[in-house]
Amino acid sequence: MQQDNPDFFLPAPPPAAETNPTPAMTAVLGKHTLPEVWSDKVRTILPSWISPIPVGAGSARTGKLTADQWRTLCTVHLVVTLVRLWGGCDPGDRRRDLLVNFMHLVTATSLLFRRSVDTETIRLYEESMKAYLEGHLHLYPHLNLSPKHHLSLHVPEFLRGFGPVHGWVTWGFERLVLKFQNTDTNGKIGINTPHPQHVHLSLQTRAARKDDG
Amino acid sequence: MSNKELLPDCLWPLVERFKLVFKPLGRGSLTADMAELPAQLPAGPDGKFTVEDKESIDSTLSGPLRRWIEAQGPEIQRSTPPVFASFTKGIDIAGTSYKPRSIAWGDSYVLIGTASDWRPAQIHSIFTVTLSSNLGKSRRTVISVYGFQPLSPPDIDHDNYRRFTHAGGRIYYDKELPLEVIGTKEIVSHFAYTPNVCAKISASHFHALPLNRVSIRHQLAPLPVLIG
Repeated sequence: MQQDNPDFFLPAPPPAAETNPTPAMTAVLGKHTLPEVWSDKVRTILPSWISPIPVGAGSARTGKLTADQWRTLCTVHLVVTLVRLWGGCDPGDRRRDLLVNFMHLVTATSLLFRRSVDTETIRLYEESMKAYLEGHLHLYPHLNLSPKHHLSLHVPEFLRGFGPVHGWVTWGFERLVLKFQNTDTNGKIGINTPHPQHVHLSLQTRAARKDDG
Repeated sequence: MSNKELLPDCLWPLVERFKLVFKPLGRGSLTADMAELPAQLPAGPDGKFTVEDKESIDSTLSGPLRRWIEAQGPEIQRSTPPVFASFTKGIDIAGTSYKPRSIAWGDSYVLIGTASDWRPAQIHSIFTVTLSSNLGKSRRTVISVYGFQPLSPPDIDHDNYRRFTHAGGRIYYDKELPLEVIGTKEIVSHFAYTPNVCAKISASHFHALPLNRVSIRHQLAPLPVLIG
């Protein structure tokens, strides 16, 4: 399969020494799959309330995506393209397993963001998330589960206690983080270097004060 | 509350809505979900409405509208088919804006039916009509849509999206069905439209992916009995 599809660099079951593979060895979406995603993205018509993802999303030159753009990319554009590309693979083909695993995650995300939840929705979320994590351990044996994976299994408790995530999700903090990330800094803690634009405005203000007399 | 003998008839529509929305084990019930759509404006003391229907209903709409009226309950079935209507550029349902395709192409693709049994359609127009019968007058907002032809059984086998019930969507032929009129309650959500996603299906087709900004009335089945 790796010869047929250059997008895949997933190794055979890693030897004991290979516990920290390079990022290239874990790439699933590569230079052949991402252009397909972008091509489908251009053809897809979305309602106006969906946050559009930038052209070339997922590539280094496009930069970071916001949390909402990640959600759109994963629950809309990747679903359209990956099912198109890998949905017809034979049983036993790794791409098919990867797709099924990814769709467990998409299902869990879609259920999580419903405007209302009941016990059945929570049960389906738990089922999908556990299936995704079990698949993750099986498909990516060289990768460890992260704390976020662990936390995702605690979400049902919050759903039962507080209701839909719209009531307590922290989009406001996400926006603040984005604002901080887009702020230019000199990378040195404790030394304040003003932004050139701020210096320019400050000089303009001083000049205006002088003119006023 | 479910006992018909204890409640006057005028309260029954409210009880039905309440039973649909209220669920002891559910969270996130929205008050807006209990509101009846479209709003039925009460007539004034002289029996006239403040809003007048000024635009005439053309022949393409009159037939589907008449069929919709005939499919409604006995109160509406006795109505005289309206000749005039008030057309609008959009309607807000459960916090989401839906518009005709002449206004916004992306906002016109909708799923109709229920969350579990939906089909894609495109909004042609949104309009409000006054229905007159011997029981009085009422105003209803309705939507005319073009449905799309479902896949034939051989082509359904090529639709890999159907394997993923909750997140996959479905493929339909990109061939419009005759215009039909539906009520606003039949709108489920928007969908993402992607043309020609399967090489094995020769006819022009598209993939419809539901976009889950759904309200509670589309998720929950009516409860049998809450309080005896």
